[in-house]
Amino acid sequence: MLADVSVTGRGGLSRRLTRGLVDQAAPGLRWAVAVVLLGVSGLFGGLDTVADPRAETVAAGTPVPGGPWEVTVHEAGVRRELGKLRLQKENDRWLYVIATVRITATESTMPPSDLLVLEGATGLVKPTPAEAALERDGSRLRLLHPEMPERIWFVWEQSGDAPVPTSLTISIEQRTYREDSLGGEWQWMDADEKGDDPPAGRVTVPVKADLTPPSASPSPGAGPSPTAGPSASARPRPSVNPKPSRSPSAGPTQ
Amino acid sequence: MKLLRRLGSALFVLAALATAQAVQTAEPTLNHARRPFPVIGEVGEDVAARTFTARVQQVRCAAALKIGEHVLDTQGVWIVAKLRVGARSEPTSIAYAAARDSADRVYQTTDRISLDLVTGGLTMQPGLPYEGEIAIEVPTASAGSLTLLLADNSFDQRLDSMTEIRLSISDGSACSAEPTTVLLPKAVS
Repeated sequence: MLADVSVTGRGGLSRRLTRGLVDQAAPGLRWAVAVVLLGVSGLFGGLDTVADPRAETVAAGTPVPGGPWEVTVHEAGVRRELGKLRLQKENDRWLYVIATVRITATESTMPPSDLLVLEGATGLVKPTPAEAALERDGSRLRLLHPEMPERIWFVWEQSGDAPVPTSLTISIEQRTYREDSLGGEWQWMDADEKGDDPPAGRVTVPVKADLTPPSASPSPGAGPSPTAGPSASARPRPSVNPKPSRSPSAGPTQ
Repeated sequence: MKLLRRLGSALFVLAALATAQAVQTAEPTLNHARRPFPVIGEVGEDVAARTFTARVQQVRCAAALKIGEHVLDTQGVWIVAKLRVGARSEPTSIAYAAARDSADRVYQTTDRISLDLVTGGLTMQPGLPYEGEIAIEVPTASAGSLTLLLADNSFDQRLDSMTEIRLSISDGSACSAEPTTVLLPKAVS
């Protein structure tokens, strides 16, 4: 009888009440209750697929989706000289990673400076790239547009005192489309409000070393041409705007 | 009877929760509720936003831009629109320009060249309109279904007017293979 169910003894109110209810009805009702609870859980998202939080390590050439972008790392290398970029210290060297970035969001997007993070490289002058430039014309990475993938050189300066890495593990940042807890709007943000998101993925690539002095540098056919590398720091940004101190022509005004 | 009453109560609570969830899911998101107010127009006609007016005078597409001695290519096509814009009642500037395709993808004006006409760099005075051209990189397949969006705020276009002008390009594959120039903005009387 239901009246025999104690709600005051040890074991908790809810457990005793539930057991009493179920036992009084029928043994088979337990399964029905379990199914109903599962259904209710599903109704509120309890059965949704949850992404594996561990970042997967993939091979070079494998696209890694990171939310509003997809990154495919192609190769990495180290050089003494790269285009027109200037090292802070003569003894330093350039570490570079070539990757294709495709915007999968629906709006033009400027990738963050920490889109790629190098793991396993010591002596970096700063953790974010010193330069990131489009391979096709050496212009500095700015806005990228949806479904218009760009092959980009990401370049870090490494201290000449640090060891030259034989391989690099590159972790790729990700963003999640979620509701802003302050404003209530949906936008691409860190999944974790503390910014402690795991990377979208990791790519381990061997490092192609070309540390010969500039004068004895091999021909471009031996690898990516230095002229194909970034030259953003030296490249003007063409302007079509009039500058009072310069010619009103539509030519570059830098 | 008590058992049935309790089960009934439990079902009632579940139904209430499910209804609340359905209502919450059905209501528009804040992004939708705070979307810009569109002011729709066609090429060749003046379209008045809250603070500025804009008219697309011409639109064309090309495989490359020629800016001085620089030639800028693209993996898609360049859309070049000639605009006539002006402030309505007080000094203002246009700081956001983009093209939206039929798949609702939004392509902002290129930042590979400097375009002060639509990036906030040009303050317009009422009665002194400007003419000039802007350039947008889009995939070739999107070129035939573009709508130009203009607003006066580069960061936040919510709850404010935004012009939407359908661009009259029928086929991206028919764009000029020759590099095209981009006209400077200039004040017109």
